[in-house]
Amino acid sequence: MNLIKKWQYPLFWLMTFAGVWCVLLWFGTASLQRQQEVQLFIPQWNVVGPMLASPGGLSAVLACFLVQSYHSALAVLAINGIVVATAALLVRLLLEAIGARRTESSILAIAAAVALLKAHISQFYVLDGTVAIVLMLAAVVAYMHCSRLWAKIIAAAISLPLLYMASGQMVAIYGAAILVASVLKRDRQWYVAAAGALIAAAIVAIHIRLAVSVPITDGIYSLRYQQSQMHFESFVYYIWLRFAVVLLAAAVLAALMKLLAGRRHYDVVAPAVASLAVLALAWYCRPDAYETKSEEMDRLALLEQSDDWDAIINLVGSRATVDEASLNYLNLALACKGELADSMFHYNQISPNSLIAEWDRSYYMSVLLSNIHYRIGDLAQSEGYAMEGLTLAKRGGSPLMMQRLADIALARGEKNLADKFIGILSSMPHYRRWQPQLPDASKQFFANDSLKLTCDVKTDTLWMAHLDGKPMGRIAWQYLGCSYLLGRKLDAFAEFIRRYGNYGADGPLPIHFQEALMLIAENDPSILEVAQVSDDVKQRFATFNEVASQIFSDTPEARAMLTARFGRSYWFYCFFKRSV
Amino acid sequence: MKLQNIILSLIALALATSCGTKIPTDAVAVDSTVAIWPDYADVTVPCNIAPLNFRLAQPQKAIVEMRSATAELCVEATADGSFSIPANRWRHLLAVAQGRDIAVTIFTRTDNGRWQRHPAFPIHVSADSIDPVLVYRRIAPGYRMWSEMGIYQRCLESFDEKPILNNKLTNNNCMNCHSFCMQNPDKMMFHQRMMHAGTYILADGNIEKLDTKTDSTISALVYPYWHPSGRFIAFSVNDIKQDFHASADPNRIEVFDNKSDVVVYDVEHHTVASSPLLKSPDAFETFPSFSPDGKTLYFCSAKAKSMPDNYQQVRYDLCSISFDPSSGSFGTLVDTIYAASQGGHSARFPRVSPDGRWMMLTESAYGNFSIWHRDADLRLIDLTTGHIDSLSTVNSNDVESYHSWSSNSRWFAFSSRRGTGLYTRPYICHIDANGVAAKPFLLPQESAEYYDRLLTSFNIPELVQGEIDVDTYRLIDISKYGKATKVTPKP
Repeated sequence: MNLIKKWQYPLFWLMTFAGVWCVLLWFGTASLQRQQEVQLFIPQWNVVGPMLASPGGLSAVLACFLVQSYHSALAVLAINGIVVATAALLVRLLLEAIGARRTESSILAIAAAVALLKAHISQFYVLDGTVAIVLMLAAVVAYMHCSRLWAKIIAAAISLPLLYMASGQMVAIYGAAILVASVLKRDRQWYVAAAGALIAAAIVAIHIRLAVSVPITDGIYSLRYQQSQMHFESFVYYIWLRFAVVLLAAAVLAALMKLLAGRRHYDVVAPAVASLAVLALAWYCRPDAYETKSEEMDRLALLEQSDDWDAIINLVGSRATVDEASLNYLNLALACKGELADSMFHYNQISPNSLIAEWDRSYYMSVLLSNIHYRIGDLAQSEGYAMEGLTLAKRGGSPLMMQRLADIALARGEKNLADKFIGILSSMPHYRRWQPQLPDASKQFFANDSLKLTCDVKTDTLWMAHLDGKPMGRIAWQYLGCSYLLGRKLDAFAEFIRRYGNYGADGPLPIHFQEALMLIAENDPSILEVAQVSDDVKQRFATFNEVASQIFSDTPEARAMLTARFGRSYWFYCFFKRSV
Repeated sequence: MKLQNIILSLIALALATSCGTKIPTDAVAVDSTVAIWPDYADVTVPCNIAPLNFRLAQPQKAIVEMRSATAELCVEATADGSFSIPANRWRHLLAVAQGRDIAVTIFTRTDNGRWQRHPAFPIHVSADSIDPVLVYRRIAPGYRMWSEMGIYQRCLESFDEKPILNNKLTNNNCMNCHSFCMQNPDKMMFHQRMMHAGTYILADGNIEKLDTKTDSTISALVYPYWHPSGRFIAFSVNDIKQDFHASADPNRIEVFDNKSDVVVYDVEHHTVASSPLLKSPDAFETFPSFSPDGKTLYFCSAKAKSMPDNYQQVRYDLCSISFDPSSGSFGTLVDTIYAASQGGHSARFPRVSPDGRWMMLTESAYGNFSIWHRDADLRLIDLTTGHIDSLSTVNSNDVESYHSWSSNSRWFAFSSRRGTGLYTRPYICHIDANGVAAKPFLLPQESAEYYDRLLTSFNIPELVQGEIDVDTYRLIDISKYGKATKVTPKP
C-alpha cells in the first residue's frame, strides 16, 4: 500500500500513457503521421529564433520539433502518449490541490486525456495546442502549491509573462484557472489569483487590440466555422476553450465531491459519479464520421506513399460502401500492379470519377491527384496539384509535395528551382538525404502545339497526346481505356483499341477490355479483327446475354442473381450499375 | 620629412586597423572573380539603402573589404560564407560615398591556408535617395489556391518589415491590388476578395469599405491607379479566367480576360464613370493609369477575341485619352501611344514617371498577365521623343513584370523571376535623368539565405514616401463588420 502510495503518480502517468497508446493504435495514428508532411520546419536558429521571439513561439517550436518525427508510427504513439499523460497527471495534481480525493481526482483527470485525444485525432489540430495546455497546467499546479503569499505573487509574476511568450493567449486561461482553483479551494489569498487573472486578461486584450495574431475569442465559434478556416490557430483556440470547460467541470465536480465527503455511501457514489462523467465524455468524444473518413483516407495515403498496393486493394476492396477518393486509391493500386483493366469491375466502381475524383480544394485531395497524374505521366497536371498542395499545407508547406516539385522542375530543366527545393529539404532532418530523380521516360513534358489550355482540351485528348507523343507507360494506357469504360463510351473505346491495340504488349487484352469488345462487336463485328477475345470471354458473354434476356423485372432477387454471376464483369457495370 | 613619414605611417596604420577585422596582408592577387549571391557587383544603390548582405556561392573562409574615399569596413564571413554588414558602419560608408563608388574586395582562403585577393568590383552609390518604404503583397505562387498572404511594408533603410494586413486575421481571404496616390502613404487602397469582399480606401486616417459591383460594369473594380489629385481612381473591370497549359509550355499558367473595360471612380461621390471609348465591345480595355498632371488617362487595349481559344492572339496596345479632372469627363479621341501589337507584342502596366518624362511598361509576345510569361520584359518610352528603350541592362531571360516609380523618378522597383523562374522577387533599379538605367539589385535582406528558404512571392512592389500608419484592428473590424458603401454609375 505504501509502495502504491509512493509510486501513485508515476503509475497513474504510465497507465494513462498506455491507455493513450492503445486508443491511438486503434484509431488516429495515420492522421497524426500525416501531420509531418504538412509542416515545413527547418530546425535552424535563423528560423527558430524569430518563432521564439513571438508570443506562443515556444509551444510552436516544441511542437514542430516533435512532429518532425511523426513519419514513424512509434514516435506518434510515444509523443502523443507522453503529452496527453502529462496533461492528465497535471490535471490530477490540480484537482488534488483543490482538495479532491485521490480516487476521484484520478478518474476525473482521465477526462482531460479523453478531451485531448479527441482534439489530437482531428486533422485541423496541431500539437502546439497541447504543448501550451501542458505548460499552462504546470504553471497552475505550481501556483496552487504555493502556500505563502509572497510565493503566490512571485509564481504569478513569473508565470504570466513567461506563459505569454511560451504559449501566447493561453495566458488568459491560466489566469482564469488559478482564480477558479483558488476560489474552489477557498484560498484566503484568492485576491492574488484575481489580480493575476486581471493582468492576464489585460495582456490578451492588448494582444488582440494590436492585432498580433488571430484572437482567442475566435475559438468561440462553431466547429463548422473552425473547419472552414485555412489556418489552424482558431481551431487550437476552439480546443483550448473547450478544454477549459472540461477542466472547470472536473474542478467543480471535484469540489462538490469534497463537500460531500464523509456522507453515507460516499466512497461508492463519488467514484461512480466521476466514472460516469468520464464515460459520458468519452462517448461524446468518440470519432465521428468525418474523422473516421479522414483516418481511412490517411491510411490509404500512407500505403500509397510506400507503394503498398496489395494493402490498399485489401483495405478498399473489403468495404461495403466506397467513395470516389477511396476508389481513386484502389484503381491507382490496380493500375500500378498492371491489373486495372483486368479487375477494376471486381470492385464497386461508382462513376467515371472513380479513376480521378473532382478536386475539392483540400491539401489531401491535391496530393492524391498529383500522385495519380504523376504515375499516369502527366507532369503538367501533377505539378499543378503539387503546387496547390504545397500552398494548402497548413504549416508553411509540404516537404512531400516539395519533393514532387523538385522532380518535376528537373524534368522541366529548371535546375535553379529544383535546387531551391532540394536546399530547403536538405535542411529538414527527415528529408536530408533525399535526392531527386529525373522522371523516367514515361513521365515527360512534351511540346504539342495543338494542346493549349486544359480548359480547352478534353482529358482523353490530352492522354492520347501523351500516348502518341512519348513512350508513356501502361498506366496511362490503362487509365485512358478504363475511363471510356467507366463513362460507357464504347465508340471512343473502339477507337482507342484500334489506335493502340494492346499497347505493344504480347498476349491478350485485359479482361475488361475484351468484355467491352464483345459489346462493341454486337454492332461492329470488325472490331474483333483488331483485337483478340478469348473463348472464355465469348462464352461468358453468351451466357450473360441469355440470362439477362430472361429477366423481365428488376427485382432484388434478379439483381442478386445477376450480381452473383456477372457482378465482376464490365457488362454488369454497363447495363445494371447506376452511376452516382 | 620625418614628420611626414610618421603621419603617413599613422594613416596607413589607421586604415589597416579601422576595419575591425584584419585584412590578410599576405594575400596573393588572383584574376578569378568570386561568385556572390545576390549579385551586387556593379549595381547602383541609393544612399539610404539597408546593408547589401550577401554570401559566396561556394562557402569558404573569406573577408570582404568595402572601401570608399575616406571610409571602409571589413567583415569576415560566417562558416557558410555569408557576410552580415554592420548597419551603422554601412550607413557611414554610404554617406561618404554618395555620388561615388564603393570598391568591394573579397579575400578568400584556400584549402592550404593561403589567402587570395580577388579583383575588386564597384558598388555605385547614387546621390539620389529612394523612397524609404516598399510595399508589396506576399503570397505563395499557388495556382488557384492560397493560404497565408498579406500586404507588407518594408523599410528600405533597414530590414524592418511589418504587416499592413495579414489574411490570418481576416479569415484567410484574398487581398490584392494595393495602390497609393503619388507614393503617398496616407492615401492608399486595396481589395479584399471572398470573405469581407470590398474595396478599401485608407485616406488620411479614415477607412472606407466599398461595394464596387454595379449593373453597368463587368465586375467589381479591379486594377487601380490613383489620379494625382486623389479625387479619382482609374480601375479596370475584368472578367478574368485562369487556366493551365496542358503540355510543356514553360509559362505554366495563362490568365486572360474574357471581357474588360476601364472606368474612373470618383472618391467623393462614390460613382463610376466611363466612356464608350473605354468600354467598347470590340476591345479589351484594361490597366489604366494617369499622367502626373492628371489630364491624360493611359490604358491598354486589344482587339476583342473569342476566348480561350484565341488567347495567343490577344495583343494590347498602349493608348491614351484626355481626362478633365474638374468634371471627371473624358476626351473624344483615343490616341495610340505604342502599337505593340503591330510588332507582335503585347503591352501592359503603363506607368508614367512622376516627372512626366518616361513611360515604363511590361511587354511580351501576347496576353496580359505578364507574371506568368517568361518572355515578359520592361520597356521604357521617352514621352518627349517616342523612343523605346529595351532596358537590356535591366531585363533578364526570365520574367520582368510589375514596376513602380519612386517619387523623384530616379528609381523604380519591379518584379522579376530571374532566380528560379517561379518565385517573384523585388528588384530596385536606378535611372538617371537621361533615362539610362543601371544594373538592378535585389532587395537586400538581413540574412543572405533569406530568399533560398522563402516560399512566397513578392507581388506589386510599390515605392512609398513613408511608413503607412494604419490601425490594423480597426481595419479588421471594418472589414468584418463594417457596412460597405455602394458604388453607383455616374448619372
